[in-house]
Amino acid sequence: MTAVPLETARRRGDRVPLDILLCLVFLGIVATIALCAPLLAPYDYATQNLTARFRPPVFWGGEWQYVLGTDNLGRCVLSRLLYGTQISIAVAFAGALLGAALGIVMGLIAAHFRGWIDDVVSLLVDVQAAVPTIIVALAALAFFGNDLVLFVILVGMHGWDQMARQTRGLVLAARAAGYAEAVAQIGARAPRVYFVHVLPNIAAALLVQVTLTFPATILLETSVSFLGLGIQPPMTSLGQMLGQGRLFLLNAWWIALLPGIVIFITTLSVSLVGDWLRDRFDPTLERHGER
Amino acid sequence: MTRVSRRTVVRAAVAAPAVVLTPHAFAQTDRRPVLTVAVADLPSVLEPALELNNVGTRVTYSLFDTVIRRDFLGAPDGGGAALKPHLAVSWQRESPRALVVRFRQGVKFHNGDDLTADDVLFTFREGRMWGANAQIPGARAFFGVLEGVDAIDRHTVRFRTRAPDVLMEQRLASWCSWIVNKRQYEALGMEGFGTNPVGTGPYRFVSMRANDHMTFDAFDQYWMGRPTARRVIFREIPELSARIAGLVSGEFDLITNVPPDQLQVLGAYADIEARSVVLANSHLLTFDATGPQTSDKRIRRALALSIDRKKLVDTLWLGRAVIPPSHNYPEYGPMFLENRSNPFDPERARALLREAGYAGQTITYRTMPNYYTGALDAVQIIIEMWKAVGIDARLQVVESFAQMQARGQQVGNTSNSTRFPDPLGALWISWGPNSSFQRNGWFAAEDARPFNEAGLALERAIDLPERRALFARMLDAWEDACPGTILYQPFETYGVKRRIGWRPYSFFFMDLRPDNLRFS
Repeated sequence: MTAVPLETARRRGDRVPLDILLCLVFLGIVATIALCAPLLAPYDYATQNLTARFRPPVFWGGEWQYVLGTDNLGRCVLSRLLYGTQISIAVAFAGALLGAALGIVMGLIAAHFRGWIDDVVSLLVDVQAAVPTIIVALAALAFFGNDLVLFVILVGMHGWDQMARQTRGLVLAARAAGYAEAVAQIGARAPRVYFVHVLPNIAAALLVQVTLTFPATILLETSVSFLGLGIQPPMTSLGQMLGQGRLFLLNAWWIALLPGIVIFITTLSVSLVGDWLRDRFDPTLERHGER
Repeated sequence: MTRVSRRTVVRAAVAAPAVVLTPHAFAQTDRRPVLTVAVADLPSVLEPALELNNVGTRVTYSLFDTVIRRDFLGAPDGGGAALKPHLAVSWQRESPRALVVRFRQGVKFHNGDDLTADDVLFTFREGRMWGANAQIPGARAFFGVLEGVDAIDRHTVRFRTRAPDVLMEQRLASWCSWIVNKRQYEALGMEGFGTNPVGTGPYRFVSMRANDHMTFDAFDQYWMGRPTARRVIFREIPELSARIAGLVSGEFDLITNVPPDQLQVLGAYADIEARSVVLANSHLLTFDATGPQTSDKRIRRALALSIDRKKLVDTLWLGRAVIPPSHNYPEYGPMFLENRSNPFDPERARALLREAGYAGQTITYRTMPNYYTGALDAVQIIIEMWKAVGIDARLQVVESFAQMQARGQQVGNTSNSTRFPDPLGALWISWGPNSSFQRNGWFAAEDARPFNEAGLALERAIDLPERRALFARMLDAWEDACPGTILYQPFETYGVKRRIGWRPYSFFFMDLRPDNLRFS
């Protein structure tokens, strides 16, 4: 993630820059696809037409029946792309939420109890940060077999460490700020203090963290599926389409290229929006009155 | 103390390059090319009787020689079945139960030993191949008929069978009859020999790294003449696109497992040629009798009946694969049974499912993505065909046979080769009592009983009408029990640089002997 210079943030002010606007529009389209893929897709993702294998997209000499062409089993690439986007986004979203929830809980526990519990959580965070998630995910899926629930859990393991570290720091800062202490003094129990008072105050920063982790989560899902684990055929995902399509790069490039483009633009858009949000909510900028 | 004069230093300096470069210079005089073959998979060891599979025989064929040679290239399609002398110069029937084989003299093993009857006896010993507790249980399927092997003299051996066996010559030309070096095997044991093999083949083992490569060097004392390549490297490249890219760039000279989809791609390069052959090998689905649902043979038969094989062949194989009439091949010659088929009958399949009380329970189909050419595409088409008759099948892509055959398997895939042109060289070896299917209970003992009775009788029969009748009984029993079903005989395509003169066989064997490998 590239750091945004202060001058850039200043220039941006409250107006949404054009590039971010474009990213938001694209993400809106992706979100619509993710929600409505079955309504938008002309065919089911598994429907085969074996007499129409490797048909090119309409802009490459193909027919309107298959706008983005067909794959090696005569399945509509557009339909698979829509369903694939839905599945990839759903898995990444579920994984990101799981990771965020785990990270927040671990961060709260560490900040609340301190002492040896804090040390253990910090150790776990360091271990997680040191071991590449994709290696763990590949090993676990190869060992236990492909399972969607396991896959989502493994995707959720990605990025919880950053969330835990962030939460811990923010909670410690909130406690030092005094308002949490004041609420506790008037008799509120710890869960109420953290979930009703502290979390809403640090939510903006945590949301930014989620947007920063989300592209990596998408890439994790697509990478694992690309390598043949994760989402299994005939179900589809962007990574799986890319992985399957790479076998036909020389004679049917559209099978791999189109999901590749969607992955690229989606992760780029989320990253840019996350970067922009970070600038907007960065407390250091706030302190300098730069918002 | 020795004094070093200036003159000595000058002499040493002058001599040094010669000393350093001489071995290199000698190496350079060997102008034979290195042949690099990219394969989808490599065997884990090189004990030839232990790796009786597609990927194993492909490479062990260059290290070892069979007793008799099957003349594959005697037929235009690479599937010739005539037998010709090889390590054996002649063979003669002494009685219906005894075959006397005279071995070639002067044949050297890679370690310099002479081939003698001792090596032959060691190769075919009871403890390795055919005894009740043989080291290599799979070998019993080929040589379980043996009663003993005796040395008559240093180069003559008698093979005795328990009952008259009309197929011993074919067995000695087939998989599993590769002669191993006794001294090396005794010194290292089976495991050690598997990673340091010594045979009499045209190439000798140099090095291997699991899942990466195997390197063999030319064995210049080879009895058929000097091999035409200086070195052969088999490299494991599971990704098809990487194999093709490597062939195009010149990194590889020859690649295997090219599916029909890619023929057009290879055709775009002037220096590359696709060489195809219909294999004496069929792709099959296996139905595990220990699995839920597939324990009911009516469901197994419904699964088999609802596969439209012609559609698979016409689309995935561009019409060039062959659908054999059941586990029954024309190359059996007089043993081939007419009027057999692999029926496609969705109505009958639906009726069987109803009869079995099948209510849409999920059936798991496991496959490896790259091991069998086109397997992943085929499975997805087949699952749709099953869906059309009301079967709910779910695909699980796995990484190994161990994962595929682990508990919970219902449908898997395999391939069966016709090791020698007789039902005993195909159906019986693949599904008989010594097969993994029966040993593991996937082909349940009760279902297998009529099949085994007919097969055991066939092993002893010598009269042709009787043999045909027994084969028909065997095939009926196999189709009725339906522990598996034939899909098709794929056509295997190799991508080859045009400058390489090499013809494929109808087996996975890659024959790199001097008479089948030339460079121009």
